[in-house]
Amino acid sequence: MNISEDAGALLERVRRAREERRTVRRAGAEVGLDAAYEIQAALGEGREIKGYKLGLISAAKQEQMGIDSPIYGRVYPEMLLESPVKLSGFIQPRLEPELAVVLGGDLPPGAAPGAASLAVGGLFLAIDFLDSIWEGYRFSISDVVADNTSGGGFLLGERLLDVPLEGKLSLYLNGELLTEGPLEALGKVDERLVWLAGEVGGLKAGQVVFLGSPAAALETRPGTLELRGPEGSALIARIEE
Amino acid sequence: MPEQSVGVDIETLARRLDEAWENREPIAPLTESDGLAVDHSYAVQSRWTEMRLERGERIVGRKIGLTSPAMQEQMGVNEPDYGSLWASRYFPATVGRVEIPADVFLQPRVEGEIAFLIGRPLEGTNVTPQEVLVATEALAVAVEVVDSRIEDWRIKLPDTIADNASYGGFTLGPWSRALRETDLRTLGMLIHQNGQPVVQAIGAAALGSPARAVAWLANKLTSFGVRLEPGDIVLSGALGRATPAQKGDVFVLEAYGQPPLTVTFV
Amino acid sequence: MSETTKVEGLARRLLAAERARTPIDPLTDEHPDLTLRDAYRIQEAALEERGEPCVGYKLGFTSEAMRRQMGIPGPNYGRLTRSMPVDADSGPIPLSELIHPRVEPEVALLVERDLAGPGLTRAEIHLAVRLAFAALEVVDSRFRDYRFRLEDNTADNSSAARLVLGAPVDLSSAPDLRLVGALLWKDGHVLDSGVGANAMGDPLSAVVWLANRLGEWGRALEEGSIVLTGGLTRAHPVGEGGTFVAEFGGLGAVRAHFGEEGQHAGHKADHDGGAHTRAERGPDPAPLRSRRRRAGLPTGGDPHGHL
Repeated sequence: MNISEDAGALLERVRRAREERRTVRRAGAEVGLDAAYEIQAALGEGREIKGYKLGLISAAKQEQMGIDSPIYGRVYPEMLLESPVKLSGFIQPRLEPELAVVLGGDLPPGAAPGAASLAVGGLFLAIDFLDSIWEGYRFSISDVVADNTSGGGFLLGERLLDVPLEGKLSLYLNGELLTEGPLEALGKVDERLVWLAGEVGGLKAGQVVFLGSPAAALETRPGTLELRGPEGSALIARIEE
Repeated sequence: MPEQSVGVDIETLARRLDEAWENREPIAPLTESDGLAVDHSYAVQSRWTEMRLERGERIVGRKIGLTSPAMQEQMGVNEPDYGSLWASRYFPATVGRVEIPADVFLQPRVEGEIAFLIGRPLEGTNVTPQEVLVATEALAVAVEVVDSRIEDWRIKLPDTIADNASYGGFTLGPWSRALRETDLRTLGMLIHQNGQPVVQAIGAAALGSPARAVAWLANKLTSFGVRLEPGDIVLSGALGRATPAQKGDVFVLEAYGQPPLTVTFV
Repeated sequence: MSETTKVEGLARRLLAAERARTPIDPLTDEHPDLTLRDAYRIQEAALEERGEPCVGYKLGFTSEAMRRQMGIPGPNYGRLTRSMPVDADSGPIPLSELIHPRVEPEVALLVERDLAGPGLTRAEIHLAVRLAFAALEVVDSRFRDYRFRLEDNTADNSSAARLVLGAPVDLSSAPDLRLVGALLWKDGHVLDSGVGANAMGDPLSAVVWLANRLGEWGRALEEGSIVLTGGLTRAHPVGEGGTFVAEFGGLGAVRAHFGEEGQHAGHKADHDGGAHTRAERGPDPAPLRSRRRRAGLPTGGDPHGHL
């Protein structure tokens, strides 16, 4: 990889903050989106990619950040968590209710939306434990992309849900509603997959794509986490210190 | 139980198991007679399977054993084991009924399970339950007859692994696509033996969920250089206890959303 | 002391225990000859004293395993009153209102027409029951350490205390209730599991038993009644509080969260509580609500006169 001095500095900053599990304040020049994705890739070099997560899926947020598409991060095997989830493993965790697609077939770049629909093996409830090195989640678009799009960890439901889905996702902590959002806010699954496959050079059967959240990310504390989704589906987990 | 086998002759043990299977005469635990330990137990199982394949046997899939906390505790292990499904002991059901000859077994027991029909290859070291469901073509309820070549079922972990995970035979209900989209954890299953309830269980009894058990198998097989292939059948582990069966017994298995499966031992 | 005085006295003793949240010794310690008929009279007297409309029934000891564990010869029933249903989304159930609550997952059914036994068959019940709900029942025996005989427990309204209902599910889209699995969680850990068949072989059979039992006493199982058909697992102590969730195959999930006093009260004594919320979520809210209003204590006569 041939990257600029600024990008090299950002890469080192992200790498060290992630290793030392501490927050940092943003500083230095903007490296641009392409360089940020190169940093993201360099930080995960040689690791198995279990899938991807989408971020900034709402048009409003994209506009706010000055982009016209979502962003993505890589999902590595150790990011797929099991309950109980320990908060001590994160820098500054936040939660989002999500849906995830698990691909039933390969999806090459440039495929048609119909091919993407066919490649959907199933949908599952998911909870995204975001994490960021950027203090207070204050970052520019290249900062967050370089930091793997705030990739932390994920829980996946075990019931396969089939499209089309209607309704909402509601996330509860200790019986109290934390946040909820409508499934329409996730956008069209096939279009998301086509876009992502184009960005990452194709998706493979078995990979998981977290589709982003229809609701705002929230801080959390230990307790019982309960995600309710369409068709009476639920994902229950425990959060510990 | 020794950690490592000392001077175990894999060929001899495989042959002894095969003779016990063929002659229906149980043998002493291999852990006692030969000091078999876990390290060589899968090798014995493989060798025995090879011997049978040489004589025309076919492998139609895999079975997962020791999926319940109770069984794992009894065996002093914290993971399941697996064996091969041999075609010669697949008993196809017709319209939900099947007769199984009691006299081909030594000391048969009946278990209710969920069977997976694999639709796409599954391999890797991080296969998830969700990937399993997505790679599954269809599911069915299954009755597995477990059996042991070891006298009085006096098995330790290496004994049952070598003994093809105590495989006896199996039958299946119809393959169902709808079961893929059913929450397998909360799928209820009932087994009646001669009209008396003997098992009331749910899917979560198999390692938390049957798909989780199959994910364990895919990861385990990969470590042995084997992968789950399209067309493979996987029996994902008993829901509830194994019930001893004898000639004349009628077992009826019912599961959520599925037609009943009646097994008569003749 | 007349029979009536004795019945009323014991009913008041149970109510006082509930209100003071102080458990008492079994009534049969003092009255070893207490009959099941006496017990239902005490239950009825306590309900009258309480003065709340009834919204349904709960069955107790519907599983063979539970009866064996507790040394109880047969099932019984209690009445659900208006203050018992809790809306899962309106805050914790205050522990300060309860003595030593336990939780069990159950299938709840809504009876949509009067069922007058005895002699009712499963088919007749099936026609009268359209909606099923995932439910968590909170029991809270007024007896110390849950030590009681069937007669004590019956007098104590079958330990009825609270209930939470999930969203209604049309039975035509749900399969055989016997084969519905239930997974009970506490604080994010799986605690127990069971199947629908644990309730008298079938939750619908539990309604058959109830309707016929009431019928023997000349009473109908009233239209609009919610019936809690019996625990699918054993009852699990709430202890210091926490979050219970039950997931049911085909019926969705339901939650009961327990907390301390001072937090927003979970149950609403001044209206229909959980049943109201349920009705609002239901596919056909208005008729449900009116049916429920009509459900109440039957009027006139001794309901147990035929015992």
